[in-house]
Amino acid sequence: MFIPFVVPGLALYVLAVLLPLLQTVAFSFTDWRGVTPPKFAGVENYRHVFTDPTFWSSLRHTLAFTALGYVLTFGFGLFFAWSLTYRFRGKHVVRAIIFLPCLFSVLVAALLWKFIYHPTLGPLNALLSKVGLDSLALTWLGDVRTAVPAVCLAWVWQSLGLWVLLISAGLERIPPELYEAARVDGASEWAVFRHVTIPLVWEILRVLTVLWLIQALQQFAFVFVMTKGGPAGVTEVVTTYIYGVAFQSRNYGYGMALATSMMLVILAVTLVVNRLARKESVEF
Amino acid sequence: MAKRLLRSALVVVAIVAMCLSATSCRKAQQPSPPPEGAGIKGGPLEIGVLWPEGSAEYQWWKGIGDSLEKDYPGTKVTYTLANTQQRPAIELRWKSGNPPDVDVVIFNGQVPETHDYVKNGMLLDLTDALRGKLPDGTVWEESILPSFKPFLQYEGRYYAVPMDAVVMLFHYNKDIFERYNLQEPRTWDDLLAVAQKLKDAGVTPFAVTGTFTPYMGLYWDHLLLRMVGPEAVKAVLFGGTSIKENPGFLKAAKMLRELVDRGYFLKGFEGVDFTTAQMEFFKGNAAMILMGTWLVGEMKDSIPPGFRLGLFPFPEVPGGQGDQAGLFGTTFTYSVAKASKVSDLAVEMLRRAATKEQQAKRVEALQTASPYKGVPAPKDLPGIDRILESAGQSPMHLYYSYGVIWDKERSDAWYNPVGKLFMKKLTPEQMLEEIDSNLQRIGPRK
Repeated sequence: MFIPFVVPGLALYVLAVLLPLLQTVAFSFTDWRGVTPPKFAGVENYRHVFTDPTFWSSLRHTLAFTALGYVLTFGFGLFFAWSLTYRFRGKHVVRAIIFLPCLFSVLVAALLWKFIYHPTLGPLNALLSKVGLDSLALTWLGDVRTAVPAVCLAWVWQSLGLWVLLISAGLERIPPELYEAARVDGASEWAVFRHVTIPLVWEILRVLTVLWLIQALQQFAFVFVMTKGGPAGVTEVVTTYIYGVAFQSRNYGYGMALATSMMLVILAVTLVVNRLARKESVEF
Repeated sequence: MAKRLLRSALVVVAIVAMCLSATSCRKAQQPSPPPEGAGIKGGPLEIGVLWPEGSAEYQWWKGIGDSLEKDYPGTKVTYTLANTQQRPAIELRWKSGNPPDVDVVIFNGQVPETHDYVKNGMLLDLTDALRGKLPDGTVWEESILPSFKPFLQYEGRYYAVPMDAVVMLFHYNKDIFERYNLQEPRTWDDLLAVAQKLKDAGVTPFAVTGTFTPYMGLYWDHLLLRMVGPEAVKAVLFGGTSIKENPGFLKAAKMLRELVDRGYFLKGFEGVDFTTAQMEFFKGNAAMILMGTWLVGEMKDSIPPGFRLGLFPFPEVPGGQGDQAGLFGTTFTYSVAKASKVSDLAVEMLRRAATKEQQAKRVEALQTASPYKGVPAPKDLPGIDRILESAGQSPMHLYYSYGVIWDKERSDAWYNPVGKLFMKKLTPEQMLEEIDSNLQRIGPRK
């Protein structure tokens, strides 16, 4: 009685997710350039992953993007979401402004920021020069020191609204009486945030963190559009590297070994974070 | 009465016969399809083109396609965009056995990564066709400039035909050069002297982009071509030889760093994308740019009226042990799929595209150089024919760096340290150290 309802979804899952995944893993053990039939290569591709300096540097960059992006997104996200729990004039307008960048496609947002950062034509450097801060007018995307934070900021700007919305949904669930009780007891706003808001929203933050990690570790579009991994490879992330190996070098077997390795990295990181962030949940 | 009718009928028949005969005579005077084009059956034919519908290149191909449709009943030519962005999708079609009948840049004799298409019998051997004649009577193979032939061949057989000669050259602003009484540099010292004069006059000598490392790498590749030669570079890049074994590499790295240290490159080039760098050149904000000859065609709509362009090859490096006259370049190769059901028609399309008349039209429409002999230079690329002729029989060296760009891992290992040198993050010694350790870890090409 139950099976007929499950079959269509299960079939779709097997065809669209499971089979390609298994195929990727299978091809990762081959030497395959796409034209000649794949040749079984044993663990050669995986041995190469371990000694490939670009994989390790791109993994470091990926983790740097993820860490910086997390701090910015969840820092600003919590701040805005919490601020929006208060009543103030123009609250809806502020909420709309925060959410607005989410409506831009990733491509549009990336190109917009690429223009903003442009060293000679972009408005950012023009503005800095106008207010006398010429020394801060940098080649944002071309400088090995600023390229990662510059791309990261663009990415966070575009996605922040969604995370604010999700965190807000968590905050909305907290009964207002708990805040009132804390304030009646003389708690400061910071104390209310620290001892009431955070513990009660912790479970949601943990789930959101895991979701964030899964999508952040696969970051591709902003890097690909804004820097293509440059300057001198300092923004190369694992996904852009996989794309290059597969479609530039046409080394599909190795590309799939990289993809499978990255899948394992994502799995490991999310499991560890999920485990570390687990706390006894607060009932309310 | 009957006699008159018969006479009238005979007169009419005679007139009709004369008309028919005159028509057939006129037809006979028109160029008839040459023997190479005879016996071809029409059918649906798909060709990969580099530029989208409405572009000059698209229109040029369409002109040839229309002539095929007219001459071979049942022919319907479709034009599929097959540029860099579309390549992954087009290549997947090859792999799944559904390639376009004619495709562009699927094969290049100098790129081992593309030889699999030949080894697996996916490309039509065009050798016999190239040994035949073009509609204008010249032998197809002999009409191709010798420098470009290595890009078309695998083990002595032809698997592609060339379209457009792409050469890496210094493009310069003639007005700026004349304003400061400068001559085209012939040697490295000349180049430095010209650059210094320009800098002293407040003009940026070179436009370059810092966001696409291989464009910075062009300077490195050319310096090495002159200093140590192609074989020494290939031995390091693909053969596992240490870069430290040849002191010429360090000399070239120091020369490159000198250019950077003297501040000859566009201000803020590190964050400037290539379109902007090219715009800066055409706006007169930089005097020179080292770039492929596609530049003029690519920037056609942005070049100010009256802009006067000059071209010169990368200067010689006196004392260098390498190739002092060599050029980096390639040609856009067009191949025919062996699986094509209309392969004869596909070859005929390429044959028509290769005539001097069609090449001259293409050169004029796209403002690119032709890889065929005797085709005049486009007005926007003055002197390109002279430069190509001077290359003579010597093979052109494939850019970037002998095709390393086709191997991402190796390409990054080679060019990323060069990018860091441009950004003053590495000294010449450190750059070589980093390249060496990167390449040693990757190992020789299999």
